Amino acid sequence: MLAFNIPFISLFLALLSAIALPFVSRRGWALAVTQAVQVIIAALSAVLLVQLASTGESFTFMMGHFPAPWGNELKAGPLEALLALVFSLVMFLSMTGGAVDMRKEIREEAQGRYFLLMQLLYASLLAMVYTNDLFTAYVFIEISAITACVAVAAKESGKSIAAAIRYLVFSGIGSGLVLLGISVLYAITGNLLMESLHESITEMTAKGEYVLPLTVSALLMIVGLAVKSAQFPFHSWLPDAHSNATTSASAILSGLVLKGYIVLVIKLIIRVFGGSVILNMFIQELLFILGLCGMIYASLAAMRQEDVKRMIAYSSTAQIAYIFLAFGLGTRAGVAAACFQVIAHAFTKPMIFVSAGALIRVRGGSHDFGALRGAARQDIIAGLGFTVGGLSLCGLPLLAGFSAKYSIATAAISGGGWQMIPALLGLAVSSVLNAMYYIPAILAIWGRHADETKLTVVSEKRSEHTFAILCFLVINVILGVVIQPITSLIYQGLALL
Amino acid sequence: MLELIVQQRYYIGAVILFTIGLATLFLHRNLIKKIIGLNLMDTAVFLFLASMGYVEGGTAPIFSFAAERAYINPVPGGLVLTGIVVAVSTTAVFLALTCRLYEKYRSLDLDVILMRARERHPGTEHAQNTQV
Repeated sequence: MLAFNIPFISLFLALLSAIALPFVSRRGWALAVTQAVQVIIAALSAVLLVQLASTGESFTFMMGHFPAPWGNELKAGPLEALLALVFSLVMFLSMTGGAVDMRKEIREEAQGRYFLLMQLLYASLLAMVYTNDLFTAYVFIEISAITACVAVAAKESGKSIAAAIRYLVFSGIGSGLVLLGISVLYAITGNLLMESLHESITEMTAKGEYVLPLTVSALLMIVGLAVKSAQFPFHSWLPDAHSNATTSASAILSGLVLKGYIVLVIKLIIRVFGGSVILNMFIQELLFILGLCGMIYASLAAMRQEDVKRMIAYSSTAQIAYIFLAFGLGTRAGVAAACFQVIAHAFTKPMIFVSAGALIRVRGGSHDFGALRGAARQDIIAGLGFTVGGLSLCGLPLLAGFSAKYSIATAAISGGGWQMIPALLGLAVSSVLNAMYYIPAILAIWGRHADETKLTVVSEKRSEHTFAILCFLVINVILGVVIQPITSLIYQGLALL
Repeated sequence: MLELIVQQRYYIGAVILFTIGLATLFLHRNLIKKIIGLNLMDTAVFLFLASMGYVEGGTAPIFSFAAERAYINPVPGGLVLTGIVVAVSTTAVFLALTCRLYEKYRSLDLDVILMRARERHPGTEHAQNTQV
């Protein structure tokens, strides 16, 4: 069928346009080409999603027509198509919303290369979603790490370069661990394709062979990915990196790049180690406890920040911790709730970053809450975006963040076990903590500035970010209202993963 | 015991190298030494992979009608090659960023760099988050 070529076409289109972007940048077309490619891929993914969800099937795509044990494969089901659609939309809206800041903060001759980086990053995220091969996944992990680091440094200020170096150090550690884990797994099983790995692992664990090396390899890979997705206690690189990057880079790093690694964790949990005893031994408990500590610790840290972007960055760590908490529940419902949280956060956090970028811009570039007091009155839409995003993460009903928390809570209750009470308590406490830093921030931006006459008000004509924020707002409300169909889509996708 | 160590010498060597690399990457303040640590870590994994595919007395994995001998597993070789490309690009980015930082702050010590960065842009940075 023709639709079965869509995963490959998406990847190919993204990579091809990435290479072309520096050349069209001189004519000022780079942003338009980037956006066009992202919209096309989003539309293709939507077609794929509709088709796969209605037929209820998934398929593998052989790269170069080499059959299973030798060739490289892509695999797509409803969940992959859904994630590709979400990633494309968020990418498009973040690039649109951050366009004004990007023109201001990045040298003109470097802008083409910035688009090149972002498009490569996008391609690597799509590849992580679609790939069925662990080593290909590793290669794209590295591509996304390198492009994300350079995107942080793209502002070329001293602080952003220092932040990029710390990010690179942690990334290096993370990918080293992942690579070692993959090598150990290959040494034991002799396979790299996820399905073949799953067969070998089920066979071995049924006989009780190699249980320790398999556990070590699973632990290495999951810890490596946790380092890269800034799960507590490996999060210390994140606030600097995300707060010093330019708006669109911050939005994409927080909203999407962390999620790419999470998608791989989901694949490891379900497609590679699914159904075997390896994860049940202690890895799930470890993820659960780390998630629980992370969501409390990061929220407490966020409360102490005076820089608005640092506060949002810490809040990302807390939201990632929710995902790991949901993995730690160890049930199918837990993984589904994690997927929902991935999607909800992907639409919420970029909205907050784009709005914060716009508010910072009207106050002449200062990140402090003191300087931002009353900024929302000058840019109502950006203020609205920040407010709705903040309330969504606090768990206000009818918004995306509430649906995600609701799914995690129902997963915790249905799973039972010792995790139920700590999970519910953790959710409650961290929601209160979220409210304790988002609500003062929201009040501050809508408040009256002490001295209206001394304001440095920067007026602007372009309103690209208004469009992006409005789209984010609409999607946020849709995600908050339409919980049931999306959840059933995720379950269908997980069953076919 | 000794026999086991001799038998597994490549794996043991790889694990020791990996640990040294990880410690260097994590604990050293000097950026160049961090890069060396990163490379050591990658090299350790390559040693692990390459030794995994090696067959004692095996030939190169090229088909010929005459050969009856065992040949080594070519897949780890391919993985090592890919890994080397990745390691080279990561090192290049790391070095480029290090050059930029040195131009700006005249130091290779990450602590000194972060301190000078804070001095130039006071107020927004918090002390508890400067440890790598």
